[in-house]
Amino acid sequence: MNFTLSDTQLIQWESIVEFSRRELNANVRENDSKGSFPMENWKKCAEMGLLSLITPEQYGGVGEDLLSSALSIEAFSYGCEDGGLVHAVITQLCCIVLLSLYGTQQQKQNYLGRLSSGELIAAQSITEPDAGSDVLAMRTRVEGRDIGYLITGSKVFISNGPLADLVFVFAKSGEGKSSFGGDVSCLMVEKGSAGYSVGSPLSKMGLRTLQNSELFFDEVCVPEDMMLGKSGHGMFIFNECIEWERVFMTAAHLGTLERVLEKSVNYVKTRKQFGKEIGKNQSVSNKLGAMKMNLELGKLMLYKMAWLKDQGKRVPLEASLGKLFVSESLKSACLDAVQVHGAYGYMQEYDVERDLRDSVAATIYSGTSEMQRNIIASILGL
Amino acid sequence: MPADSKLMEFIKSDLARGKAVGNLQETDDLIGTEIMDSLGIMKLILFLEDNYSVKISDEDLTLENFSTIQSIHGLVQKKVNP
Repeated sequence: MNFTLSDTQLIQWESIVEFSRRELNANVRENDSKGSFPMENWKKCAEMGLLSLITPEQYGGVGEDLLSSALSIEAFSYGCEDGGLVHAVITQLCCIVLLSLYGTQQQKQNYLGRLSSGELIAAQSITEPDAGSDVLAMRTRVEGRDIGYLITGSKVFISNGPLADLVFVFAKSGEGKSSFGGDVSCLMVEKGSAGYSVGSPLSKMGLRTLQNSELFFDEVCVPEDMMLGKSGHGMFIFNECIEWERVFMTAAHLGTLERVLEKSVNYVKTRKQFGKEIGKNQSVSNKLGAMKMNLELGKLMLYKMAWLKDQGKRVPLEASLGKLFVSESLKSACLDAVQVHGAYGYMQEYDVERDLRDSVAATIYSGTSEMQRNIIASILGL
Repeated sequence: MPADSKLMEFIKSDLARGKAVGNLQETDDLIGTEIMDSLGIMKLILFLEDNYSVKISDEDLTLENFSTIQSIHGLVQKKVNP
């Protein structure tokens, strides 16, 4: 077992951290306050190659393995203080995974290059008002027609939804709720398609620069060649891609956790009360010790699951363990960071309150912590 | 050819556990009885790949291949003895 990162991985880490700090952190507080998406920074991320990390080289990408991509995302989230932008980039990467794994050559030719260059923005459209963790309760329907497919229904909370040029929609055919998921399909819908409309951006507790909205499909007609993978294979596609998503999200959470830890360490070493640094008090230093422990454990979990995926393995257990542990560790660390910063931590100008607001979502999206525990228990045979 | 006991035991003791399915037979419909749900199929795939050293591809993921214990056994046999 070798834990050494390659020179390329280390150089890339440094380069992404330096880029993110230099280019992406100027107006984060203001954008968060307004709920504005930083389109200029999106373009900079694309130019930096962050959107093409996993895109195969023949489609203009870097073609990195998942472990190297995870390290790059960790570096990005460590350097970039805009959690909403990081989430938007990961959403794009997840759509690129969908297309890379299941797209036809023509579909890849049509979209992969433009998604990887940031010219097109993509969204995954799964969640519905009555179908969150219970994905199979979705009501959005797809019906085969002579000319292709007809999609009817609505989705909610869709990340990148208001900006998306291309939406990957999961919809059901057939009657009733198939426990197997054999009647779910994944189709691509382009912005501007007749019957497709987008709700206003939703106001959120955190991740405010990320744009989320409802999406509406009123008998949207989709050509046959916009089906991703086979008809009825949507749940298998979903199950595979959610593992990738959990690797990406875990990597981002660890990057943020490391940044929050460093900020907290620096603060408690300079803030003095009663004639000594507050970090000399064990009630403060223990919090930071726990952050460090969780950071190191989380990295081991992340690198293992990414490595396993690179070996072509399925990782439902590892992905759930990692996502659960790291997202909960991040939320806990952000709460402690506000606490050790005292009243300053509660003020917007210290930014840790924004990290805390952002971190709450980490335990909800990509499967809530409760769902991760259910999956883990089920895999244990309970 | 009857399904081997390892596969039968896994489906009975894990996937069908806690579900009112009575005395499960090799030809019983696993999907209609909701023994096989979306998490169940993921667990079954892990079980098959770990225990029979086979790789279940996306092409194999059809209702026909996973509808009964018999059909799952048939899929594994095709993989083991192509």
